[in-house]
Amino acid sequence: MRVLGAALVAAAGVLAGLVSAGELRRELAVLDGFSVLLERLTMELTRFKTPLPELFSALAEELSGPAGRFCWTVAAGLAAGMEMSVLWRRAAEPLPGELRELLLPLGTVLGRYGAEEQAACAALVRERLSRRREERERNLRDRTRVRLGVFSAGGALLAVLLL
Amino acid sequence: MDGFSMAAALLPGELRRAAERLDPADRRRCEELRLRRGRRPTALLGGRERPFRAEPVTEPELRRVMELATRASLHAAEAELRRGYLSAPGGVRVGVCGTGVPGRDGPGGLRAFTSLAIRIPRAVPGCADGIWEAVTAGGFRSLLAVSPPGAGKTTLLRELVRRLSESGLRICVADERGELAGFEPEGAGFDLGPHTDVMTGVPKAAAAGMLLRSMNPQVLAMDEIADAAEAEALLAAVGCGVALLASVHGADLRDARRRPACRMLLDAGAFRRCVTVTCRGGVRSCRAEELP
Repeated sequence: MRVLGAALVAAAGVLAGLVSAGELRRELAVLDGFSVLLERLTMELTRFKTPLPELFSALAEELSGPAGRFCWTVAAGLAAGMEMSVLWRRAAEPLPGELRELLLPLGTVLGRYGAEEQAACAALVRERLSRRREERERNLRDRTRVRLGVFSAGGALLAVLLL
Repeated sequence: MDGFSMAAALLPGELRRAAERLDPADRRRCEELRLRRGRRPTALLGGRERPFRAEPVTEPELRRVMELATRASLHAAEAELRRGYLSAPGGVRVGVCGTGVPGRDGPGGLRAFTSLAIRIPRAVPGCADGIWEAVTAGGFRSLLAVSPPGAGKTTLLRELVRRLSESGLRICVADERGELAGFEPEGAGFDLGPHTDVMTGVPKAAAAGMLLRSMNPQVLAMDEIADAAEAEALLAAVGCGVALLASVHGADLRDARRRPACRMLLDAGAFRRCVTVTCRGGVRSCRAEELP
C-alpha cells in the first residue's frame, strides 16, 4: 500500500506536468491560429487587395478555434455595416488579455488606409505575436519542467519516507 | 431601395437621419448630397445646394462615409481614388476631394478627405419620350449624347438602353463604374431591359473589346467617352457593324468636338445622330439632330 501510495503521488506529479504541457499546446495553438490569420491578411492586402468582407468570410471558413470565431464575428459585423474599429474591439473581447492588447491597434488601421500601410501594421502585429509566442513557450516550458521536477521529486521523497 | 436611400445609406448616424428628414418631394428630386469638412451638409436640388443640417460635417463623419462607401476596404478602391471618385453599391458615385499622395508612377491616391459629392443615381422612365421618335426613325443609328456634368446624360442613356433593349435590340454596356446598371454585390440595380448585357469593373476600352468579341452586340453603350483608347474601341465596334450609344461631356456638339477622343469619332462618322441635354433652373431638355 505504501508503495502504491508513493507511486500515485509520483504519478500525480507527472500528470500535473502533462496537464501543463497540454495548456501550453492549447495556448500556442491559439497564437498560431492568429499568426496564420495575420499572415493571410498581409498577403491578401498586398497581392490581391481583397475587400475585407470577402477576406474575413473566407478566413472564418478556413480557420478553426478562437481565430475562426474572431473572423466570423468580424465578417458578420462588416456585413451589417458596423464600424471596423468598434467591431474589431468587440470581436477581440473574448480573447485572453495579452492577445487582445496585441490585436487592438490593427482595428484602427484596417480598411482606412492603403494596402501597404495596412499590411505593414498587420506584419508588425504578427511579429509581436511571434515574439510573444516564443516567450510564452519558453516560460511555460520552464514552469512545466520545474513543476514536473518538484512533483516527481516530492513523490519520490514521499515514497522513500513511506517505505 | 431607391437612389436616395442608396446614397443616404452611406451616411453615418445623425447625418443619415438628417438627410432622411428631407421631405419626399425633395428626396425624389435630389441630385447629390454634398459633404464638406467644417461646413453644413447640403442637398443639390434643381441645380442649387440647400443645407439639410445645422451642424457642420466633421472629419470622423467623412471617414465613416468613406468606410461605408468602400465596405471598409479603402485599399480595394485605390485605383478609383487616383481618379478622384469611388463606386459605391447601388450605382452611387462618390466624388472625393482630399490631399494627394505621390505614388511611384504619378498620383498615388488621396488622404485627409475634405469633401465628398455623393451622386444619386435614378431611373426616370419616360425621360427619352421627347426624342424617341427622332432617335429611332428609320431604325436606330449610332447616337451621341452631349451634356454638361450633372445635366442628366447618364439617366438619359440608362433610359435609352432600356427602351432599345425592350424594342428587341441586343445591347452590351461597358459600365466600368457600375453607374448605368446600379451595380450591387448581389446583382444589377436598374432595369436595363431584357436583352442587355453589362460588364462592370473593367476599364471601358477593354470591356468594349471583350463584349464585341464574345457577346455579339447589336448596340454597344458607353457612358462618358474620355480618352483615345475608348474612342478606338468604339471605332472598332463600328467597323464590325455595331451601332453605338455613347455620351460625352460638353455644353453642345461644338464644345464636345474640342475633346480629341470625341473629335476622332465624329470625324470618322461613327455617330449618325446627336442628342444635346441641357439643364436650366432645374428643368432639363433634350434636342435631337441628325449628323452629316
